[in-house]
Amino acid sequence: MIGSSVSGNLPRTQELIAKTRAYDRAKLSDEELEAAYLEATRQVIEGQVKAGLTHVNDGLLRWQDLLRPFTLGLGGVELGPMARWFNNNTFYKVPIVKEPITYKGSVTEKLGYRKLLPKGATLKAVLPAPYTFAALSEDRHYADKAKLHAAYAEALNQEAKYLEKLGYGYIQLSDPALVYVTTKPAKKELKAYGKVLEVATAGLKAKTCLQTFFGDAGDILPEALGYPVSDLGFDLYETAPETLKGLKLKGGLSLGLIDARNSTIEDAGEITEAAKQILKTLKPKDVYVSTNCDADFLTWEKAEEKIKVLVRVAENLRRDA
Amino acid sequence: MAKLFETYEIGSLAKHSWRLKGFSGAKLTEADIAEAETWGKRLGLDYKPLIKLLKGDAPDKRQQVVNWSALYAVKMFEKLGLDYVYTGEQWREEMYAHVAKNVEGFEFTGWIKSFDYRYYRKAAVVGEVKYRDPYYIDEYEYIKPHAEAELKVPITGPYTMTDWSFNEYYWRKLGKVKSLKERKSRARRELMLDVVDNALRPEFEKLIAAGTKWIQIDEPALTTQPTAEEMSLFVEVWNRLVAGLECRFSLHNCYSDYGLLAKYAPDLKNCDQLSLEFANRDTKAPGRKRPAYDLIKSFEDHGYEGAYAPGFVHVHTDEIASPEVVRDRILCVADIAGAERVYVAPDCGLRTRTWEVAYENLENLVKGADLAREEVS
Repeated sequence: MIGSSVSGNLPRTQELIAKTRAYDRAKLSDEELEAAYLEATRQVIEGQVKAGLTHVNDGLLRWQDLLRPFTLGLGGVELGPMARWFNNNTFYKVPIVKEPITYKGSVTEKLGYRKLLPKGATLKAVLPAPYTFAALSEDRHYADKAKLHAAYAEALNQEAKYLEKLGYGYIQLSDPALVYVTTKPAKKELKAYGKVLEVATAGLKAKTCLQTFFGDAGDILPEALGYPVSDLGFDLYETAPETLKGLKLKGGLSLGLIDARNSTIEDAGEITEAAKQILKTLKPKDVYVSTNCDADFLTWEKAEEKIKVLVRVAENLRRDA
Repeated sequence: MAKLFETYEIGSLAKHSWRLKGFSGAKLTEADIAEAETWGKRLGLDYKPLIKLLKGDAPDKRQQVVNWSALYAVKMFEKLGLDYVYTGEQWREEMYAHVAKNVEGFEFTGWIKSFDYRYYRKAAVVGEVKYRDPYYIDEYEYIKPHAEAELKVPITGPYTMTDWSFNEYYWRKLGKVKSLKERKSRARRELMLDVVDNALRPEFEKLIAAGTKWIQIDEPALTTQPTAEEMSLFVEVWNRLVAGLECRFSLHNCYSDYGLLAKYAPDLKNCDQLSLEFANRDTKAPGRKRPAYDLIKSFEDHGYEGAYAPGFVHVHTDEIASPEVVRDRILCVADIAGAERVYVAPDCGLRTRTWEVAYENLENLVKGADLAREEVS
């Protein structure tokens, strides 16, 4: 299949931003804030559905950062200081692992709006992958990366299974730290990471994708080809196309061809050509046209326009297939 | 012998409510007026014309309020005894937005998440970056006759302006480049160079012609992209920015990877000094052995020969470091680099603190410098 989706969250609308700022200054009640979230979530879902994305999510508008639901919801983890989110002018709060990680029930359900999602499209969940969670955490308990990976992967697996039961058919594991210049692992560690992903994806029937961004996917190849996920996702604004030439893909490929870190609205024809060039030497089972990363670096207006381009590119590829 | 441990502030101060409301046209309360009176008295200013202005409806009220606010900032810094002062950036909306608003090519897209419920206004570069109207010079010309201390003019650097903006125009311009990765990198470089040539250098020339002796180039975004390619790009744009200009230049960078910056700092031409956030990383324990400041050694090891203004007071807390702790921090750096290469400044601008806290913070900074001077004399 040739699908289309956003590789992560969506931006809060400007109206919701105004409401959250008012809430932060104690000028809005909890109920008013919730109403604003509902309204904005409806808007970003409708934007995806109307555009024709094959895979949709609820925008993850309530998530303060990718790790936060796990930081707050898992046993043994506490909220730490603020740190820069990779090479962006945005920040996250560091998870501090103080005790053994335990899963106490869904960490994302309360923050999500599952009921607002449409019935026709494939629902896409977005969760932080084990490498990224561990790389961005402060470990005061395990003192051993492998143990931390394993413990988190176990909890992640339970969350993924829970979401699968709720109807999510596609589970993206976001793993920017795996390819980012200052956090990526040594080459020799890459093979072992496959075992960690085995734990994270064990027993899932939903499709899974290890989505990398903010770094060059060439650094995890060819090892990542053997990872136990349905699809691999690459940021094509950080990865040179020649890196992907002739890759022996076992599953599908999510092509991060729409830049969610720049407001330029891409030309669908240009991006279609770029996709075709990449696919010339590859035979992925499925292809997904995607943003290169989370979309909350943009305004919703810009993200919505980009989603439309993304859908057109997927249509072009289908037409010319 | 030149004065050791000269003191300065980095740039921004919070804006009083009378400054914000007086500028926006919102109704001022008695508490707003009282604040203007209290600080006016405290700073020894004849503040009555300000009160009249705030209560009235003068046609140029907005600009006059801004002028007064800048004057309050300068007089506060001077009262505290800082050796170099400026306007507390009272003329500017904010360091990034001020440039984006005043230079051709930038257009604001909206609010973007910074973290949690905090956001920033982000601009897109939608056209070629071009000089439009002066945007730092009016502030300088207003404050120059009012200031008794030396002036140091903080400006926002090209790396930060580029890193904090969307790049539409230069991306489109490079449509023939097939690799998205290469296109992005080339578009970034072109934008940065145009910010240097078309936005900043023309203003620098005006500032210098008007008498500016010291320009501090603020680059908080530096090392956000922690690669050799990016750091080399920064060195290239810095050297292009200051080339041939007769002025003292310093670099301010904060909350950053100094280990990385240290490798490239020796290549920065005409960089008189580095002002870097350090107190944030330090403890409040007494003594001249302070591991947080050890990173200065890294700059020394790489051969940086300029001076240092490592932050000696933390700006993101209301806890005020004692003069003795400030003294110990200064002496610790003096032990590494030599007393004659140490300037005394806070970690960063004080805009997140109240004026009361900023005042106490800078007061202890100055006292700490006095104590350090006594120690080495």
